[in-house]
Amino acid sequence: MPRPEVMARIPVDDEYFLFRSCVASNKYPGMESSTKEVFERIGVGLRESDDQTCCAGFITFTSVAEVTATMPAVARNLSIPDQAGLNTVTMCNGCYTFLTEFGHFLQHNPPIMGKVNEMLSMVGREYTGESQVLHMIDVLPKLQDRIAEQIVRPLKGIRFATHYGCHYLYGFKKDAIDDPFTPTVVEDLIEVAGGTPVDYPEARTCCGSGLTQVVIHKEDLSLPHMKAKFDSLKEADVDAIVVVCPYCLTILDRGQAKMVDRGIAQHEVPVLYITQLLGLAMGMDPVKLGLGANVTSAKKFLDKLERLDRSRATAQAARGGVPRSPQSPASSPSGETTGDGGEAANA
Amino acid sequence: MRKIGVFVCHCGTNIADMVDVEKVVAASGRIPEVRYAVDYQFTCSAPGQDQIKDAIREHNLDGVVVAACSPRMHETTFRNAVGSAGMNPYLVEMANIREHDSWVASDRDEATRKAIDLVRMKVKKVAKLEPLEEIVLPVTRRALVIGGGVAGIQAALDIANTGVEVVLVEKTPSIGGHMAQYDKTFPTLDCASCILTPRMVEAAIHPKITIHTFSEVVESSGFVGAYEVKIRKKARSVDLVKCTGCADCLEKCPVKVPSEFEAGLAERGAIYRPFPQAVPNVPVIDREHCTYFLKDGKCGICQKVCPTDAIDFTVEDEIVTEKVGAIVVATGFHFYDAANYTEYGYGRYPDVISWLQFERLTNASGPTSGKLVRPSNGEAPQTIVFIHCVGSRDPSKGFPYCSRVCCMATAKHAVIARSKLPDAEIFSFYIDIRAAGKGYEEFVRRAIEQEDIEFIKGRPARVIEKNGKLVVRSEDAFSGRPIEVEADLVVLTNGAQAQDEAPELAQTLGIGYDQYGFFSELHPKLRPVETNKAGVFLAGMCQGPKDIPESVSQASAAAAKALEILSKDELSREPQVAEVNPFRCTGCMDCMEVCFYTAIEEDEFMRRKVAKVNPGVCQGCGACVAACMDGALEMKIFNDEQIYAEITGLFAIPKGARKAGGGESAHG
Amino acid sequence: MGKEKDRGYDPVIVGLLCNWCTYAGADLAGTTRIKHPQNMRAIRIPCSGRVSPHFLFTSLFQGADGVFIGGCHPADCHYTSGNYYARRRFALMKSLLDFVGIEPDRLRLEWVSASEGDRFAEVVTEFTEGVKALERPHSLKRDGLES
Repeated sequence: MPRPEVMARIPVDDEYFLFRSCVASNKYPGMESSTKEVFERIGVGLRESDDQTCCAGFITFTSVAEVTATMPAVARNLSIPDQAGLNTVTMCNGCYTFLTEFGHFLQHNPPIMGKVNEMLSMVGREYTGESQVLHMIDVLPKLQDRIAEQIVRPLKGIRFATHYGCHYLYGFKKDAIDDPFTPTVVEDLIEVAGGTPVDYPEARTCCGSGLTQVVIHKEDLSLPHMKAKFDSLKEADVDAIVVVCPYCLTILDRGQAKMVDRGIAQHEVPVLYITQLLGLAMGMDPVKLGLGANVTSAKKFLDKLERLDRSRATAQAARGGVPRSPQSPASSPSGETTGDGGEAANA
Repeated sequence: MRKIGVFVCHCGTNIADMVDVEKVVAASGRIPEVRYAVDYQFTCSAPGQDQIKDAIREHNLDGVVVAACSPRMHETTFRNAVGSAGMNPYLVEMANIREHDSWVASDRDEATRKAIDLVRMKVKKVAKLEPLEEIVLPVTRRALVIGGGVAGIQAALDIANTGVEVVLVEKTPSIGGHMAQYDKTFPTLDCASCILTPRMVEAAIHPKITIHTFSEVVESSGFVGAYEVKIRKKARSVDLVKCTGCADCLEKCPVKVPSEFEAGLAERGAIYRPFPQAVPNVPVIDREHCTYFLKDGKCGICQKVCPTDAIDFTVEDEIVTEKVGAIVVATGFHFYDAANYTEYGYGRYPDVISWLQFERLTNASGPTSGKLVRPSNGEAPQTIVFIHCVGSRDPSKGFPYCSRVCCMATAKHAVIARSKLPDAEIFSFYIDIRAAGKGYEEFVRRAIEQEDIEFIKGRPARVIEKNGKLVVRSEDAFSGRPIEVEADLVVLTNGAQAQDEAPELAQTLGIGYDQYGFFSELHPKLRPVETNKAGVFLAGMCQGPKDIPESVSQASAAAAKALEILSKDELSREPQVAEVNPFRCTGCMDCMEVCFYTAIEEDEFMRRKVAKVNPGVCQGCGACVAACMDGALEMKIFNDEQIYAEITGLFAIPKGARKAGGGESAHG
Repeated sequence: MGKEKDRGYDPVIVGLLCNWCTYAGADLAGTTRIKHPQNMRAIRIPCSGRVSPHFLFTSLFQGADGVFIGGCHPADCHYTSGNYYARRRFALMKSLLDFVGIEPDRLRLEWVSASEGDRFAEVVTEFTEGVKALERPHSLKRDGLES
């Protein structure tokens, strides 16, 4: 259950600053494109900036530089939405963590804040800390009603598992949108999209990235760990897994191929970012949502989706209505039929 | 002008070796207020005291300075001495020329000069002292005990057995507290109710004890020896006198709600008694769930079946006022809510249970008649996992403190489980084992060595349900490896927490409490049962986590401290208190802000708001005097002008003293 | 006169010692015979929270060269919070001294418990040395203020 007190302090704005992420915008660009598309559909603006750089998290957690050395970079990034007067939405648990924690650090260490701003002033910037940093799953639940209005292709009968990732819910304790062990925010969104959220025993097990990263690279530990998670997913009979962190997506997507490669397990569960799931339910084209970038094939899942579309169309036709079909790549978003077929038949 | 006598002590050689006593006497004689100055070998001895008494009579002295040791040593001695000579005992001051001078100085001239200064300062102070009388307060020789758990019962019995009347107030419908719910007690495995229920009955039938159950203290005024406490007796709806405890009504009630006493493992009606041995053995109607109250008078079955016409739906809460001289607070604790640890699945998985649920599951009078089973299917568990420190020693989620009793409680639970299920596998995950207490460590060793309980050092990360089993994931800190146990039953040993209403009660009574809501003792070492409020004492868990023997000892200690007050008709105390001069007071009440003892209250003087100090409550620290911007607060013995006199006295060297070669200091 | 010269600047210090901790600590310094400079004249007060800024200025106006306030350690106050009031007033008194042109080093607040006789001697020695190091009386005393 989302925490009411946290929900209450999340602002609903006409426009947010979209903080792009190295993974969500490059490795798997579908995450960024689906985010933009979904926000456009629901009428919420997203502003980007070419001035934005990496969140600087990597510099810190690979221990190549002192924590304080990353501060000017973080402050510089945060100064962009600050000066634009926008609150920030991040797509990634990592971006969220570093922006939030370093922002907090700066605000509670006035001498460092002063030094950092001295440096920023050389490039004509200032970090005030006035704007909020939000996670994608902070904002989406607040926009749930608008999302529901845009659902044209309810993902009925499709079973979705969730994976929240460690770095948001665990790390921020009572300040996070939901409890790390019993969260439902993504499940709620899956239901809005018409899908069926499925619980599985290893739902709270980490994706394994902590052990597979460049520096540590302990495959002998991470792959069995991941196998347990996917075994449990298989038993729960899910069609896809929905994540809220690009890093988890990378690991869970590529990890399956790795397990096959190392002869550890045979699993094929497509991994979707939350806005990719919403995009599908809003009728967007899987190609445009970037699912093709996934290493683990989403074919079976997409086939099931198509079967669902067909049966829906048949049912609609039987009732004599014009199916409110998902948009084909050729048709434009505005070319959608607005009238409700069923209503027409009744009239 | 005061006629002051100065008595300089040699203390054998202790003072005389380093201080030229004759010079001190001579210098004292030159101070205008001094009528008489003399030295003596041992002024504290009987002849030394006689010297003072004789001088008072002979020279008609109305002030005395004894230049000797520390006043912390002999102030009382000399107050008594002058008192017996007919002088007011509060006109004596001691100049400390031993500890503060002769024992720490290295130069005889310097020490002598200092002694002369110290005497002069005290002479000037004594000149400003006023005669005082001890404050005498009448005592209401009755006690109030708040909380009817094992600590409250003990305190009530200890006080009542001396013949002093006790009023015992309990929030729930029955006395007994948490101990009544327990199965056995560690480390002896005595049956808890077998040792508690006789004490409950003893309290109930004691001619000197009045018990108000289903009642709460709502207001308290007054001070030590004379408190007036208002108690809300919540509407029980069942007449305590008419009811015979036949329990006919209980069976007929159509409402079913989880029983608090059974920790949610069984149900009770809207009319219920917490447990069959309840004291008083009279049911109560839970109006929040009763159909009669929820649906405008529909139902009323209990009233119809009651053979003695004891049920009355029209009763309302009643406020009773009790006058008492001392209060013992023994309001206990509540268990930390294990559901906050969502990683352990309490509340989601029926076979993850709490401490109290385990107690009820093994208790012969519990919902399973003592059969230890999985709540989900009623079958005996093959593998049981205990998890320590749920809510304790965890600043990130629960409380940073150690709840003290859980290690032993878990060892007890594991041993009880073993006795019921000889073939079960039993694990106990702990951070550290804290078994300090008589026979405690031995008990834990027994659990490990003889009862075959596997103790694993590690804090489980989570419990997940998999294929009908509860998988407990943890680290094994000794091997440094992750470990998984597939359990049938997981018992969370949830720690102790202060009562939610504790801060409110503390404010009502005017006592202190810490950041967790535990009441604060006056001194952690030397005054462990007293509070900042004179006449209010603490016992049991409400002051901090402690086990039954400790709670009971503290209860007896609190009773003894209460009886220290209640054993007399009057309380007398030093008159070192603050006093408001209402002419100068502007009623800003800054003094009230700084008073830790809530001794200051608002009063009216010539139709103005002014402050007033209650001399019964004031402890004489002087914080208010220093805080008063109008100089309206005065203080006995340590008033501003008395302290100024001491300061200026240091520099008020009599004219000509230097020339006379008396050894006076050159400053001034 | 020669003797006076030898002593150089021999300051007079007024000690305001709380009855429960520092006064008792001073007693213990005596009982354990720890020698220390004898410039201080101690006044027993119930609690360091009893200290009013007037005591400081009365002392200085009268001719004291320094004022030492002794209280119980934080959390040990016999009256629970008096030492905290003392600490707050101390901060104000320090800046007030500075404001009126008296060296703030002439005022010191220390926590000395009843068991810290050695510490009492230590801090008093330190403070006395500190006041001595100022080498001459404060401005009010130099200007010949009448008592």
